[in-house]
Amino acid sequence: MSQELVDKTIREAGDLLARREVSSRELTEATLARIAQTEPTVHAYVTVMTESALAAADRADKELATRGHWRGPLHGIPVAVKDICYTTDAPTEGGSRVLKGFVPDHDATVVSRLREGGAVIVGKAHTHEFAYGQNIPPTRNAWNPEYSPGGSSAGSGAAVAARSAFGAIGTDGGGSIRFPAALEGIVGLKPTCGRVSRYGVIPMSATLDHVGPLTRTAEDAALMMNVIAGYDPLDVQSIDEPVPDYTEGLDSSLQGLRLGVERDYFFYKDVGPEYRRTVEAAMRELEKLGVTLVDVKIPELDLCAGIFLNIIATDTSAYHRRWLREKPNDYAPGTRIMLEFGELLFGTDYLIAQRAREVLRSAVKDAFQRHRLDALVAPSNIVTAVPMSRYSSSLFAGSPEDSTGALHQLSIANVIGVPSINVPCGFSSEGLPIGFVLYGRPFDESLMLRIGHVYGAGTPWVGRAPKIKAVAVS
Amino acid sequence: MQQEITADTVRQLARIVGITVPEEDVDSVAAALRSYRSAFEAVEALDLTEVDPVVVTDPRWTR
Repeated sequence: MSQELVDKTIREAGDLLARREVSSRELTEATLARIAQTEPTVHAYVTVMTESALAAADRADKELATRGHWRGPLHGIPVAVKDICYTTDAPTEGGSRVLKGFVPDHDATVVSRLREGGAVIVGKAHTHEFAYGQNIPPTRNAWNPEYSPGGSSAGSGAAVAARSAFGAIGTDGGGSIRFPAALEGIVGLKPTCGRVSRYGVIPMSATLDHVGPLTRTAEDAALMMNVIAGYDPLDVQSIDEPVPDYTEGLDSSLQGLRLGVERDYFFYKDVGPEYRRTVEAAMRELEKLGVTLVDVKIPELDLCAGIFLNIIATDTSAYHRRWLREKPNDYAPGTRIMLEFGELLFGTDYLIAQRAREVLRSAVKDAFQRHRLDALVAPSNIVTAVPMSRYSSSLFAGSPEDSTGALHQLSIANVIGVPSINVPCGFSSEGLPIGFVLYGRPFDESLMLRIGHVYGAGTPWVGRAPKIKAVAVS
Repeated sequence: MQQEITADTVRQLARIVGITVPEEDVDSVAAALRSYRSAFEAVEALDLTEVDPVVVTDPRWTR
């Protein structure tokens, strides 16, 4: 029964709760049991919040039983939160010795919204150090623990794939939701800049950071967005735009949609043949669903790497300025090197990057308008997960074993602020997940989710579970 | 032609900005700077005279 419960999607578990066929305590106990079984292999969690999770589950059950009060689609649902999101009932260390033992005095807005929505937070998920990604957290890929989980929302992705959380919150400064989602065979949505509050989330960059959901299905991502999206005056980037019901129209036909394909940039020579073939096959499936693929040229995409590196490095080093001087040895060496690098960049370069950012934004906007596009489609990465023994999170090395391929494919959405989603679309011959990524118009998350949902419903890839060697727990 | 970025470049820049880059980090930081400069060349080549930066100041006292 316990395994059957954790295999449910958020939608399915929510329906069971609503019909009182299962309690939140049962869901939470099943999730905690799954955590105990899988953590020795997967290492998704830095902190498991057993007591507070069970207390939250009991509150959710009591509200439903005594008052019939249903807080929404996450009421009673166990979820994980990346350990750079402030939580008052568990440490927030950002994967770093710099913040060892730090317990914030307030929750991040995204955490508050989860709690107000009745969600049960079962734990804090591992992250690369401060989401900057130069160390290697202990997390392993749920599909094969010898392989990397991606990052920086490594634990969030692994927990969802391993069924040790129904959904998770991640953050994405250059691909850190979609990269682990692609490697773990799950859905990961980076919303539009300003759509989900970043208040109380340890920052890298005020203009590149985003908060979003990682889930097994696009429908579950829509349900999480219904809880976490919305204006927050505490976040300077937050935008006061109406929030739709993201589940509305999810089943609508894709007939007539136009997806742009920028082959020169997204299908460049480093995209591995198996990854390329699998994504091309998914694109043909999308065509069968009524989508028109349109070849487009956006040469300005080549500007992205330089713009992104400048802004992320400058912003992150500015935030860490004091700690780098006071306790440099508390950082992992790779992170410290990145922070030192960012300190040495010039202010004029930063403004040049911010101007070039507008050039890139305009070029993408023009392509959408000129070709009447609804979205761009591309491979989410250039290769599947690599063995841990060869894994590097370097932003510079330029080999398939590091993060530069994923950054190339994903960081554009951060630089220009548009929504972007990873959709699982197959597996390699080694049994490792492959995904495609969509880039949409600003605030068009609903369409990203709809394409992911309709595509996923017609394929066996979305929702497939890894076979993890479970550890017997007495 | 740009001057090559070396370990000495890193040490000099570090002195200017007031940080100590440990000797074991110097070569890696120099390599990062070289990679960055290479990626930034295309950005520097743009004519950005008429382009405003993506930096917004909201003067309202609503926060």
